[in-house]
Amino acid sequence: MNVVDDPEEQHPTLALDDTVHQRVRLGILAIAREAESVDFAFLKQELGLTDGNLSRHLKVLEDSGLVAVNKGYAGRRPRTWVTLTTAGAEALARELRALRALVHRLDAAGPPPA
Amino acid sequence: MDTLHRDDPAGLLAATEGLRARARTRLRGAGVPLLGFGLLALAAVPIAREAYNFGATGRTITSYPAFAYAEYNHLCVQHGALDSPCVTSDFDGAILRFLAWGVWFVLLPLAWFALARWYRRRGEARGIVPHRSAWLGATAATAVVLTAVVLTLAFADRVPFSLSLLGNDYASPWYMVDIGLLVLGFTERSPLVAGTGLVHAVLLTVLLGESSGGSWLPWLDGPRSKALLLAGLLLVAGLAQWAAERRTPAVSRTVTP
Repeated sequence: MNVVDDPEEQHPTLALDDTVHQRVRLGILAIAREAESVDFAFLKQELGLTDGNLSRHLKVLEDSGLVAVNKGYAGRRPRTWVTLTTAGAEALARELRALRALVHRLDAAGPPPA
Repeated sequence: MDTLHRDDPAGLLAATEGLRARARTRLRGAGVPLLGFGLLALAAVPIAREAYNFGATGRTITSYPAFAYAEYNHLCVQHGALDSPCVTSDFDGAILRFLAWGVWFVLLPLAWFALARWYRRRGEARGIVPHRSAWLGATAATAVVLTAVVLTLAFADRVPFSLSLLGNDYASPWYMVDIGLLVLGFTERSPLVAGTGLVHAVLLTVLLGESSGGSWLPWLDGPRSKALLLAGLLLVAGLAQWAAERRTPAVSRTVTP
């Protein structure tokens, strides 16, 4: 495999992280980036997911150290708060950079041949 | 999340940006600080002369305690002519002006603190809690700027021209509100809020700088009309911002996990 050392010359897809590139997980990170912490119910509503589906994606992100999940109570109501970690913020920034570079490259290449 | 079903990078990027923008919309709330400070300014209109210190010619930030002390002890600070009675009007309500100046420095930070608590409580109820860092940054920036201005006005041998515009060497505590609104405007990406902070600061500087009876707008002569203008600016901007925040766009969600 021919490894290109210069990141500028690398194809942007090489910078895409499989954990982050999944669309729902990218959505979770994007929302969490804007706030100090986000509630499970808020994420579920914003992303239009089921409890099980969101839990599965949060587990993947938590295991990768990209988010921290804290469970607590508001009165008697259990609440789960999701916080973006520093690694998560960096991973999101890398992913967005790679996506922008990819879009730029595709735009520069022009439309595909008919 | 209306375009998250698209697999192309541009669609994914647009959907991500859309989610971030929507989250920011849910965090917005600057209409409340604008209306709150507007109402506070409106309440100060009847005591505008003391509260804003408009047209207090010849006083400096360091002379205020001295004048207040003199008035409190009925000490004469100025005689009209040799052996003439003391000119008591020279006190110019120095105690009230000094107290009003000091009270604002307590009241306005307390108001900001209450607003920060309100933002947080509302965030907890909505399920999206705003960053603490913006508020801490704004507090630090305001404290540094105001301390620097007050120290410069009090101790500098030659006050820079830009600072002398504050008029009568008097630093108004209301700049605390303007700096806060500027930071809030940048945080919430609202040109209206940042612009209001800037316009209010400029207007306050101009109004503080002009002497009594020398208004650049004839109908604006007198502390109460000036205070009303400042309060009106905050209230109108607050109503406009509040109306804008209530218009939450409807977004369809088509996620395919």
